[in-house]
Amino acid sequence: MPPERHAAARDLQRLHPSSLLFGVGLAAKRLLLPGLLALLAFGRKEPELWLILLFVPAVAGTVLHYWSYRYRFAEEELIIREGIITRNERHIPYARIQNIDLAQNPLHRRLGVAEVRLETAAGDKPEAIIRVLSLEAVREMRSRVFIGRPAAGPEVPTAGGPSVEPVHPPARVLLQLPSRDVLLAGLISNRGLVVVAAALGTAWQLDLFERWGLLLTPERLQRIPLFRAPGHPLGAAVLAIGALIVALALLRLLSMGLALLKLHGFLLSRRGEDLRAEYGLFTRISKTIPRHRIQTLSIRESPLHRWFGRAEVQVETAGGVDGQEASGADRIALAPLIPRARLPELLRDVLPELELEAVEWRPIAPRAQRRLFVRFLPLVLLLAAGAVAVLGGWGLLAAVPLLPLAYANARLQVKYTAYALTPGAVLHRSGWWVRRLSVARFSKIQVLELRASPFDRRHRMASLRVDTAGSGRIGQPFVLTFLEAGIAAGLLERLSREAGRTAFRW
Amino acid sequence: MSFSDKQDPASGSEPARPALSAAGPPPIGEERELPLDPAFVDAQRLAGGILAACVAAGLLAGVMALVFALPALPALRWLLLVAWLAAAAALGALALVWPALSYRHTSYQLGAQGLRLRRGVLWRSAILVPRARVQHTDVSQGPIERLFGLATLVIHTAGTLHASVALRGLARETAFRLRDQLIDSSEDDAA
Repeated sequence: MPPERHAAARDLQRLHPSSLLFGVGLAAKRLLLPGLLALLAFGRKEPELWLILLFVPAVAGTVLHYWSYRYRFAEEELIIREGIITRNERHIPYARIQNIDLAQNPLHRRLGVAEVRLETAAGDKPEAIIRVLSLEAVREMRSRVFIGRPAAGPEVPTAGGPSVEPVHPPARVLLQLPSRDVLLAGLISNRGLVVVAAALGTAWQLDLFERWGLLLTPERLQRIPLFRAPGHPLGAAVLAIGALIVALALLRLLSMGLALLKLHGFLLSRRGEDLRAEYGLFTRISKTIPRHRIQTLSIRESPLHRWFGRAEVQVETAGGVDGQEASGADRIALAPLIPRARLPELLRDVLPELELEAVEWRPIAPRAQRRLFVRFLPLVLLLAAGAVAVLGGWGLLAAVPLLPLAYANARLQVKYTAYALTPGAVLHRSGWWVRRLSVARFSKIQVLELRASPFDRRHRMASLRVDTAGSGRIGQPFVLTFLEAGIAAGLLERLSREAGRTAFRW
Repeated sequence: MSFSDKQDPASGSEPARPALSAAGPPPIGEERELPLDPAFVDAQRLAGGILAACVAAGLLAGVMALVFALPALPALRWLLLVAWLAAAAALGALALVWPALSYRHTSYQLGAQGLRLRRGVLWRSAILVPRARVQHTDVSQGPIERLFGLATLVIHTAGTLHASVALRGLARETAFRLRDQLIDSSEDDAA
């Protein structure tokens, strides 16, 4: 063992003894609900046995954890060692620790201890939760970690003396949506579908359909003039189609109503380095989006968007757990609806390093066309089989036009998919029906992955995935698929160089 | 040095195997792809064997239950037992063969750009963690790893899918050395 390890062994510190108490309490809290359920299900005969079975492992685990937990202050990092069965040694560089937060309930305060949360820039959740340390130990930790720097948040005033008032630059409006546009956004996005689906799902769960079905007896239906079916199959078909159209229209109306509730008075403004989005009818939300927290930006155009000459812009943000700012990872609609003509202007304000006009788009491998076509064949076969089952021999005739459709789809997909590199970011556009453009800045690239499935390898292709903070939560991860293998490898090198060259700042 | 063409995941050929080095990871500047510790194959086999045994035992229980539920056909009983034997043999073979196969296709390299990790037999992947993006690291050892003197190096980043990149099958000292070398220069990029 290297000599410094011997010296360090003397500096090993342990948790406060009351950790045992809090650990057991936490285990009890976590096991309460499952314990009750298990007790009710199985333990009616011998409840004591079941209680023991449940709680003894938890208590044993807590004791082992307390017993094996050690930490010490090395020169540049905090080292935490824990675990008996699986031993873990975690090194957290001091420079990466942004906050040391404390959580104290009345019992903590009584005993003079606290639950310590070390926040390392990672926004989402604390990187280390230490249960529990004495306040004395916390003070020592703070002094060691924050040597020479203020134990505060990331923003430090630069110009002038310490008592300089931060200047509030004037706000500049980037986008303002009148109610008409809000309704249009609702119409296009059709979020009503989600709500209705959820409602239908709940109704099914509660057996509401069965109850309503019982009410709608044939006699009652006949009384309603609408349902006095003419008995003619064509009439029934017309009726069914009519009902469907009405249902779809109502769905769109619902979407528009929801959009109005959520996005009424949408205002996107810029104050210095931050963007601010305000929206909402009854609940007014004001979100501050620091520009440097934007990880990826994506622009979306569905066919309806294109018909109305609009687009939708969304950003993914990450980092920051203080009160007003965008907390954790989030996907925000920067511009739920924006006229296409105003896109370049907005992008210049949000990501100045991006120049959409001067972008050189590079295509994906042309062989991808064949692969995409082949991917669709199972679906085509399925539809053909269905058509044959329903319509007999004529079904094949109906299925024939599916093949050229699949071919056209594959061709169009390859035509509209491309990637590009600008001085500060990597871009990816895809989709011909619903068009998407994603932007990932070099400074936000985290991990790069080159992937090749057996099919990829056969065709000498690969896909490149750019991992960013908070990506792919609800939206789409940044993946360049169907690249030529050599090009993909080259791109990996280039992006890794760019990522290495830029510092990552939360 | 980049991923050379003959070793990139998109090629169908076997990657050229670099010579095993007993001295651990090379110092920075000497960029060579390194395999995992050979003891990892045995560790994986042990773990795989245990798992296979558990699954086989479970299957046996199921087969026994079936056998007693259908007493009238002795031929069926034999058929079920033979089927179970075949399944258990297959599981055992898999536990024996897969670790060696996956070992051949796994390698790592600590270069100037960052840590490169190559793995995957059928679905091949090459992961690159730039030095500047390492948030913090863990070195952990499960019970089987301790038995063989191995450890796992987990690198935490700010990413989502790759929020933690785990490199399993390193010798314990190698894991610590690798960690030290990785942290050394990544500290230039303070948050």
